[in-house]
Amino acid sequence: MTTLHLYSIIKGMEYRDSYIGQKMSGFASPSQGYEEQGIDLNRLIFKNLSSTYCFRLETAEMADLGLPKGALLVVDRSASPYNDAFGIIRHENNFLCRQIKKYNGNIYFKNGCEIIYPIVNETEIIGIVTACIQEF
Amino acid sequence: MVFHIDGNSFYASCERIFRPDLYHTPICVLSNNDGIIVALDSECRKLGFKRGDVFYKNREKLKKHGVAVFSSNYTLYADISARMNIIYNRFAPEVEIYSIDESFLFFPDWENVNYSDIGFQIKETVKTETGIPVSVGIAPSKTLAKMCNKLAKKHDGICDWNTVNQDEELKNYPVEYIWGVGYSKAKFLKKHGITTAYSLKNYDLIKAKKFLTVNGYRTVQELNGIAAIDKIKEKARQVISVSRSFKAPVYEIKDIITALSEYTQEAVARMRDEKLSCKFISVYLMTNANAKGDQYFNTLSAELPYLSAYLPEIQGVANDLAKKIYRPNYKFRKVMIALTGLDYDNSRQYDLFDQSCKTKENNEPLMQAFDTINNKYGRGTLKLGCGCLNGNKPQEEGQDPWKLRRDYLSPRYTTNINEIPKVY
Repeated sequence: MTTLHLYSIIKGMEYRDSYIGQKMSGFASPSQGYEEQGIDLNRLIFKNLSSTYCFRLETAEMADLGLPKGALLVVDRSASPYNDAFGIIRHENNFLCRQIKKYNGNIYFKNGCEIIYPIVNETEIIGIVTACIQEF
Repeated sequence: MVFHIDGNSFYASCERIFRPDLYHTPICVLSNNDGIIVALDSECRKLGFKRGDVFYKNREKLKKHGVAVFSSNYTLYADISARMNIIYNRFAPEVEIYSIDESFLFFPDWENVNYSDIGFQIKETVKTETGIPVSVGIAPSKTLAKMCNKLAKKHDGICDWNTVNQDEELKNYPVEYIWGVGYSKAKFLKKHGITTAYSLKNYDLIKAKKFLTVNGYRTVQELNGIAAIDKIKEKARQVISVSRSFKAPVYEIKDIITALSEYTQEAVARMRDEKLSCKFISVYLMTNANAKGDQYFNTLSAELPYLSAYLPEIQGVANDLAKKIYRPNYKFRKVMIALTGLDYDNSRQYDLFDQSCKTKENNEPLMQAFDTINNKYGRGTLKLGCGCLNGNKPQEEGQDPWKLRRDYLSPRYTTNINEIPKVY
């Protein structure tokens, strides 16, 4: 499916509801009863409304791991961290996006070029990245 | 069982969520037009500042102590508040939103249930999902729950009425702090020797009804653990008013009309939100009573021939009223519009001589389209022509003398795609 095709589907969705069920010819449509709502990205991405926030990734060091610079990161603060998860952490007065690595009960954070070990009271996992949206 | 939950230093806590660099910094939040301090966190309070301190008088002192100052970011606070209430609704069968940072949760009276545990879970969930620290008061009535909430600040944030020494706490609680006891009731009570919640709890109910009105009577019942104060019934509003003080003095009638146009649009939008129409319009115009120079305060009202929710009509009347009370050479500081005589407009019967029924049929769809577009694309997307009397210049801060001063406004982190927080 090309990007153009996807775009026209999403744009068309705004008018879509008015087209469904149009009786142009006086007899029932063969698809009557099978229509569905259309793909709603909101339902796909924003599962827990109270804990989901959007952040903008400003650096390129996570690109090799799959998160490009400038991407919109959808973060769920209620999700539990798991090994290899992408997380937003508060570390030394900054919000950082790093991959979470757990081993032997210890934890560390890495990106394409460095490793960070948690500092007591200065490091905290804020949330887990559940989706990454990049526009081209 | 009633839970009363409120955010600790709510506005200040909201400002901290997306500022990891301010986690250990004192924060305070200012009122409209950056006038006075309306919210401070505990660090800021320890430095000696309090609610009501005038900002410009304390500016240097705040800077010296490294306090981070913010203008009120209502958009952000409303969004965070909505998230908290979504969480409350997950836990409790019934939730009553009392204010932007306080809610009452109602649970059935279960046996063998540790309500403190539930309170703790709610507190943890809110902290994890929104970053806001809350306090929880748990009691059989709203008044006691509110009291417990205050006591909770000393009990790790949760206070269950069943676990405290009730008489002891009531004896230590001054009567004027009780929810529902205002200045005049407190004065009366103190005159009759009732100075603590304990003595009010034991006050004769018949005397309470006689001297403290039915609300005072209910408060005494609530102090005895009887839930007497009902959920606030949805009542139609009596008046809708919008007013702001201008950032700088305004002299020209066209600036006043432009400001009035924005406030009228807001008032009519709020009125239409509740499906109401208005019969009376009042406009108030005033100078700053605290400033030097000639003072002017005036107001004028008009009655419409029929209930209306049609913006151009209401705006036209408001503009006429403003022009009538405007006087040149005064430093105007504030204009206000009030819509009263609010009612649901179900009338299909019009005056015998009323030519308006035809136009009414056209007006309503126009207003609905107007409302829908402004709701979808943002308030102010469409406005009346008199809202653009300054030539349609792009919205620059400082251009319009009557815009709200909010010099320390933080980004709309959670509601505007261009203002979302950055990660590195």
